[in-house]
Amino acid sequence: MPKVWLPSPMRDVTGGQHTLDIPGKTVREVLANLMARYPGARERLLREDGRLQPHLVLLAGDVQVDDWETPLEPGSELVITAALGGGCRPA
Amino acid sequence: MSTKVIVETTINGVPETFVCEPRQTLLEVLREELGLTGTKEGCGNGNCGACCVLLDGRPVNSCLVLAVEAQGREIVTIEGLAADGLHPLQQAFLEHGALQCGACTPGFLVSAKALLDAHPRPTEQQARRWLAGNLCRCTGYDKIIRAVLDAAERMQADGSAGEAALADKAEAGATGNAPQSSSRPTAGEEVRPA
Amino acid sequence: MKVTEKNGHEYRVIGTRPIRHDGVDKVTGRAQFGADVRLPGMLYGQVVRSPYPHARIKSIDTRRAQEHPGVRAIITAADMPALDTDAVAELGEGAIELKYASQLIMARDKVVYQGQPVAAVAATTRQAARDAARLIEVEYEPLPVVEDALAAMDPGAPLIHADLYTVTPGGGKAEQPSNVAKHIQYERGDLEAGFAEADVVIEREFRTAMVHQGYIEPQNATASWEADGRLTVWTSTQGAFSAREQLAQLLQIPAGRIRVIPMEVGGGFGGKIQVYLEPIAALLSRKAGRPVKMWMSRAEVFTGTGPGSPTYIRCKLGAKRSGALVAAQLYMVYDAGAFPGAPVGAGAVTALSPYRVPNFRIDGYDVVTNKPRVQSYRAPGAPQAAFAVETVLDEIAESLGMDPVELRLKNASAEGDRLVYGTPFNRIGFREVLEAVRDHPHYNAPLPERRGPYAFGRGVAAGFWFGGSLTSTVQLTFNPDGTVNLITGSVDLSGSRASLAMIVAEELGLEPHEVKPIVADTDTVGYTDVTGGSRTTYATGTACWRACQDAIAQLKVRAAQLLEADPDAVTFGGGEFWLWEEPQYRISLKEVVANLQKTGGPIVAKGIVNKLKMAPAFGAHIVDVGVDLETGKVDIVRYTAVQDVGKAIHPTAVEGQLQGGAAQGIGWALFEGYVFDGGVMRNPNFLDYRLPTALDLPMIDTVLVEVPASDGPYGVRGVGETPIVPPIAAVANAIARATGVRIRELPMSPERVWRALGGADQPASDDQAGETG
Repeated sequence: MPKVWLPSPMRDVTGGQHTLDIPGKTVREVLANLMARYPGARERLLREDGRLQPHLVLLAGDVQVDDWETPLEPGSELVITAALGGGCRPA
Repeated sequence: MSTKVIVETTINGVPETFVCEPRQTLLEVLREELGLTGTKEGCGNGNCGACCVLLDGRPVNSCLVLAVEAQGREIVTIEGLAADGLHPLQQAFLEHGALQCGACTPGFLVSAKALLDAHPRPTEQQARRWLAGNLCRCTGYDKIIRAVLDAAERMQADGSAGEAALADKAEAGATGNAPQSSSRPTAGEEVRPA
Repeated sequence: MKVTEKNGHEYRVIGTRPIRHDGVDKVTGRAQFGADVRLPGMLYGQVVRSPYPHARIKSIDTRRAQEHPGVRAIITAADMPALDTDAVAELGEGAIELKYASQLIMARDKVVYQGQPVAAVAATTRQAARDAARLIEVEYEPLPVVEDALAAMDPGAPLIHADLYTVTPGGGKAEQPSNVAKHIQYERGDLEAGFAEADVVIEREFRTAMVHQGYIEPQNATASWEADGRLTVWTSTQGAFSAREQLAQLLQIPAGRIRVIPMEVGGGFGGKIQVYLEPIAALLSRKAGRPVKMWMSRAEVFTGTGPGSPTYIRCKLGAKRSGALVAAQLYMVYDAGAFPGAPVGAGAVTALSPYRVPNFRIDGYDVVTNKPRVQSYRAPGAPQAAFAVETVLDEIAESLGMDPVELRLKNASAEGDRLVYGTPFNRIGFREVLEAVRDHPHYNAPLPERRGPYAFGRGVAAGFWFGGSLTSTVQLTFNPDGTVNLITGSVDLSGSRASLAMIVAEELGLEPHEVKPIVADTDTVGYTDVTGGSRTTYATGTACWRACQDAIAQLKVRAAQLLEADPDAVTFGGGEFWLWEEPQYRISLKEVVANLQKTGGPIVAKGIVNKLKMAPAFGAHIVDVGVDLETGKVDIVRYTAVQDVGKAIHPTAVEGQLQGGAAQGIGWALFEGYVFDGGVMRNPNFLDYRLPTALDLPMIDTVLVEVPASDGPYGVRGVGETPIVPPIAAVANAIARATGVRIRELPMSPERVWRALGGADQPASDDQAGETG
């Protein structure tokens, strides 16, 4: 199953874990499973309207993903990280 | 608004008469009144050299010259550098990649022409001194200095200052990167005139 | 400079050094820069700026100015839409909240930095506009000034924005307002255990000054607001589409009504993405009913645009006796100036990602002060971070008795190692770069002997930049003579047109001069992000490559018609289409192009890039300095810049990027810095803010290492940003090796070096390397 890398400040909702194996075939499924397993993750990740928090970005490997239907292979990685201010950047 | 003054001058070999306010700089008149926009404004107070023109053959920052001072004098701008093809300096700048954004380039070329007029075979140190009044933010000066020294050499070889018919250089930019000695200025070198 | 082929391909055009397409225009003075625009009926605009860094605007009286001869329009913030939203303007490189962006254009109620616009006037001559600007009377009530970022973080500091609440690492908001806009955090492993494991621990503090990009061409804009509501803007910008989007949001008009025409750009380095004059010129034009041109003086550029962020960084590194890094802690304060948005995120990520560090914690702060609001400056945030990390690494090498390059090689990140936020690096060439440094004649040459008061030292440092992608559109059209128009939305800052044309020439079997690159405006080409972030040759270059594949596919059908064959039987290579089975039947691409009208009419090929993988570029620099121990003056004696460039499309252009970045970094290290006095800049000119001149630098040797990038054609990487990352630390390390004294505050001016050496009886001995823990 895909491995998810979380922003360090989210470790308090995952029992100190920075990386988690979360099942799911798409970005949407993985996020949904993550939020179902860890109460408190939802409000850290999403705005009230269900969109991603504005300070966060999602990366599949090292490519930014905006489309949550993007498929994730087993063994692939989904990185959730803070958007970097300044500079043309991957995230 | 102050009274305007009529100024008669020669620009790039052609007699030119213009009217200006006494407080207007030569730079402003060249650019805004005469349409000679090749001369650039980078700082407006004589620190960057982008507006360098030749006034009776001497390099000056045209932002520090009042337009009325041009009365009866000869001005050469970047637009007057090429005659029967590019000037060897222009050609060398192209082949060496001695420009990136191009904003400082006209000032450098005019300053470099003044250098070669005075010192047809400058040393690297002389070139750096003469061009120290021209700021470039893109190149680190390496390729500019190489281009100027190369142009000087070609002009010597050609025995002419105006010929741009230069041999094709397949690897024009590949001038080697031999380690250089210290750029620390040494005493007794010729310093660029005013 | 010999360029080695590492990926086994032979190219016909890639890797050669043709003369750039815009070259003749630029050496003859014909190239049209923004300030060269002249339109019928054009007026001249002038901005009125605040002399105070922090003050309430009590009143603005424009009556006397209005009556001045020649004046046609005056505007203040009252003429701009009030934007109290929380919307964010994405600039493609950096972002800014719209309500703040609006105040960068024109202050409303209160000024928060010296040089902030408060009004603007347009008149028939430049003199009249300047005279009238002086007649605009603004009454201010000065407020307490917050100049220093650390002081601004103090809970008792005066608040610059009453509605600014710290965004916490988890994304929440602090309860009390403060000058800290954001706190970010990256962590991995167990920090305490990591440091406990270390044989040597060194912790140091670093301070960097506010510096300016220093582009030679000042900001300018010409705007014409037509009676039917269309707006045309000619400007010096790194991104026409970004400028259009900003104008649309700031002026609250539809983007489709705005046409931004990007003129030649006299340098940007990140500073020409944010718009400043464009909206002002537009509003003046609307009010006057005539086109308005304006440009900044150099003093306006210094105080009224966006410099690079000044920083305070505390860096603590721990290593084993073997040299292996085991722990790192960074506390990074990045000063954003008047509005939030310092590049502390990129600073934090670039600081530690080059090395494998199992345990780390980074805390970064984005802090507002009463100074110009910072913008991107070439690898935004990274040089400051590298100054800290690469200097402490050098001290660790010294205290372990290790060669500093070997220490870096021991810890260097490679493919699969993770950036601090978790993403693994794809293929990178850091190790190859360090090996090239280690084996370079410069690194192994003996240093000059000490001569009188003149002592020599050699320093090295490394750094990288991500190599971004973003979005690019390229269109190809074809001329009857067989030549190709390459229409791009990527503004050319330094010669990228030539590199893009070379890619098309390579793919289509043409000569570089047979491809005509054209930088198009926002009405004539598809959306393209800014030229910045080292993305143009990489991302727009990839779009060019894709457009060529599209062109070949379309032309193949036409070639088949001319060859009277099935398209599937036709193949392409070396500029010719031929029949796979019967290679004697062939036709050149040029001939196919010349016959387009006969075979079905014109074709347009397109290439679009939306997202590519990042293509990080690592560099390391070697510098020899000579320090005059009596005066503290530092001379750069020899300099070598080594960088992984993926594949050098136009090696002359790539060398130029390395040399120019090194020169900017040297300026940052030795000469440059805003001097503030109560928030007022005291040196807003090129005499007192000193850029390196030709006399200050030696020739700058370059080594182009070519480790192909994971994505995109030829393995090309963007190269522009990386070269400014290593120089500051490299120079500082060289000074330390020459004198035994570490300077940790910029610029390392003669006075600062002289004091550190014990001038004015300052003891310098406690400032040496080697504390162990």
